[in-house]
Amino acid sequence: MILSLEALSFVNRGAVILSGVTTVIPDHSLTCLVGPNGAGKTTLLRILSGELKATSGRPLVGDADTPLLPRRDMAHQLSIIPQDVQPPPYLTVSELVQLGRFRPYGAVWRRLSQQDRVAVSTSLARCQLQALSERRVDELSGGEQQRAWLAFGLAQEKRFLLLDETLDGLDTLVKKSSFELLKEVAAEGKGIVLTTHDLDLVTQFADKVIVLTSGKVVYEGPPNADLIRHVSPASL
Amino acid sequence: MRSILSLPTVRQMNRLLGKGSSARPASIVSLLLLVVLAASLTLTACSSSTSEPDTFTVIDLLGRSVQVPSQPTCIVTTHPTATETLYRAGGVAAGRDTASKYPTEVQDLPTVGGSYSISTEAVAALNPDLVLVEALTQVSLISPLEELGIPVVAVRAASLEDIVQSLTLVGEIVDNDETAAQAVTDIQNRIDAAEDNAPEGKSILVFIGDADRKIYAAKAQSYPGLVAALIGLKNLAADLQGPAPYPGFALFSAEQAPSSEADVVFTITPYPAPAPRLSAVLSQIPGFKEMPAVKAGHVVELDPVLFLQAQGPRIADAVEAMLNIVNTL
Amino acid sequence: MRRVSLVMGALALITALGVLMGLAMGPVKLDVHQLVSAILSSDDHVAHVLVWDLRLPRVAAALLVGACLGVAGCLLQSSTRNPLGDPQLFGLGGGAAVVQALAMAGVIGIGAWGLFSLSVVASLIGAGIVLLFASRQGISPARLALIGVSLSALAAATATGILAEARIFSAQPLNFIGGSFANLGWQDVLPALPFLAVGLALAATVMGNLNALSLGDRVAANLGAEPGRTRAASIAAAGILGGVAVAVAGLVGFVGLLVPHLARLLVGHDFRKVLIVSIPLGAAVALYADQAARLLFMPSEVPAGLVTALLGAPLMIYVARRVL
Repeated sequence: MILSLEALSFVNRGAVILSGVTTVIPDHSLTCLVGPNGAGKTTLLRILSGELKATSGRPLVGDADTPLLPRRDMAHQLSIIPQDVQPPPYLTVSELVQLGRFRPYGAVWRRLSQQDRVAVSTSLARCQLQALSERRVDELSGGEQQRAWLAFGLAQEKRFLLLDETLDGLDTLVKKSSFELLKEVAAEGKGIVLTTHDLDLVTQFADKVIVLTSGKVVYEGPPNADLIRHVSPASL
Repeated sequence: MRSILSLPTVRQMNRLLGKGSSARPASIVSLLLLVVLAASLTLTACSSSTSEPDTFTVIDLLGRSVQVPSQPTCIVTTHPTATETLYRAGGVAAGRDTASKYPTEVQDLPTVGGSYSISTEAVAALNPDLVLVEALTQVSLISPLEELGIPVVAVRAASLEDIVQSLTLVGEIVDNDETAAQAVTDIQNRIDAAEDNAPEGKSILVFIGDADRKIYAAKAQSYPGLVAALIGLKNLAADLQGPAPYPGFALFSAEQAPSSEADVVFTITPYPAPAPRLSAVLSQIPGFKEMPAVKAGHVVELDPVLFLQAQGPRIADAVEAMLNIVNTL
Repeated sequence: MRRVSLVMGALALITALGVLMGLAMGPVKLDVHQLVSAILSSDDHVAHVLVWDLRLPRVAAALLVGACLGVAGCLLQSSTRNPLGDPQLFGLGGGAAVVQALAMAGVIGIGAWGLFSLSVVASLIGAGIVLLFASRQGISPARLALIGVSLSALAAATATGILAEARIFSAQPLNFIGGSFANLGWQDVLPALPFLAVGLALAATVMGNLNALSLGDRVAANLGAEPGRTRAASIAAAGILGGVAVAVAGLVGFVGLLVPHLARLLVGHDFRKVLIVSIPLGAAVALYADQAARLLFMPSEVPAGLVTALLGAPLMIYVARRVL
């Protein structure tokens, strides 16, 4: 199963954000989306997730056009953690992660199943949040909140997980172990898309890198010497 | 060369006045003020006399000793009680409050505000030589008017004695003692006749409501209570205790209503149409709709002017109206 | 769920006690024996009328209005992510207040059903305005609350103006501005029931999505919780319930604010549980507020809205300081 974009363009109030983007996001891998600020990375993710409509071109989930898919099917396939998420009022970390198990059908009566509980505790463990699980999310530090959101995303156990600069606020060690975690999860079969500015960790862990500059894909492939040629850390 | 016959432009006037073009509105305002002032002077009802009038002393219904002119020519009344007492005693007014509408000839008179908001300036502008106020509610008017040098006499209609005393007093002031005495006799006769015709042992209640559907009943010391007592009707709320926004009334609890044995319920609705009448609404209020009188349909609306607002010489009319209702039910 | 059942049971008990108080106590006191016979038979006609026509409708009105306001508050707080959510505070009841004023002045002379329908429609207009602003990205809770307060103030002023124009004065502040259950009969309460049912049904259709909404519209949409539709349905339901509450008892304020916070203390943050518990909790709060209003200064009464304001205003200040 892949997510793909064919000749995608997005124009907003006369400004061209994306143009002629054709690319593929495979599952079973960790794809990193890099590029300078304003290159269009967030817009790309929002089109992939079905939130925004492309001006021209086709975003696809498998063989199906994304805009034609019912929202509930999209919800089933894909989870996204946007940039600048606000912590929910009142909720604890474990309550937040539990919400990752939300299903639109029968939401009124639904209680956590055994499967749900396992997914929640696994996510909390993998993100090293057990000690913080009963703390209120809005009382945590910025980095801890980001990890909580990551756990929320992982707990959803959807085929694709899109993360918009979710890891960039973490300190070096935690960031590295998070990248390791994502690589593990990808190896288990998920398709993960992560936008980031950390080129070192991208080179170390990514299965695939997409470089976006001024709305165009300038590089698409494994993180090898070619990548370094196309991109200098300064330009990120 | 500018013709002296041409009117100056506003800008020229402003330059004359030494102001910039932004003062344009100010100069128009000052002009308007001049016009208004001039007009008000010409519209004064009574011209001031240059000679000192003769005065004599009377005691008004507040027990005050007042020096009044012996032949007042310009009397302003500030309350329906004052207006009707004056006319019944054979006098005429030169100005009235907005609530005074009887007798019909007063409706052409200039007005000086509502009974609760009399404008002392408007009164003064009419240049009266006497002002008649109501003793219970308009005491606060007395000092400002006296400071302006206008004598103020207070009348009252809280009891039959009050009405007689007020008529006699005003008759004396307007030098029309015979008319006043005749009015007193007339009223007394009519009341006596009504009392003779009154049924025995009928019990009544007089209700007034507020916007929250709370009901207040008239006590013995209220004007409707007074009217009822004059024809020997038994007012079941005569000694009722409780708060009320109207003086002389008391809160009548809905819980007491179903057990009330009143034969007739009178209602007064002080709000003008199209607000619904209390007599119509009473059958909708829980508790009151169970009152035997309400269920039997013995609920009658009273004229708020006659029974609440215009207390005074027309008490005979009020007594006769109430008697008529009780006798025909 | 066990905790919810426990809380519901306790609330049912507390409410039953309040009902008993409302039926037995008052200017005319009834002991238990009298009360029971008054309920069951009409032998003592006066007591029977007292209980069935005077006190019972008033108790029913308080329960109904309290439930409406509690649920409406919960819906508003969850769907707009604003801890100050309250139908009066957000101006939802304002339109209904104007309709009530017009009816009092005799300007509109429609029956009880027409009056209720019109009040609900008027409230939905207010709800529409709130929805318009609440859907804007990044509107702060403070701003939304300010808009609502302005709407409320405008409506109250209009209603008072209509009454002043019709020369309908009252020596005390008008009960309907303060909110009161006094002098209500069955004809004031029964027409409210279908609207309550509609409001609750509408709330039930989107109740399950409310928790997801607290994560923000983007995440909620991605989860499949349809934030736009959920918010619209929630605010519409709050409008219906708020409008009915005002049509019955006037502007009883702060119940919608108070109840969800209390419910959260009792059963936690799951909005489904909070909403369910808000029904009996709101009913109990309104009932006890009314009992206090009518019994504290017997035989005089204060408007029930005064009591709820005394309880709710300090809470509002506390919440505003903590969160805004």
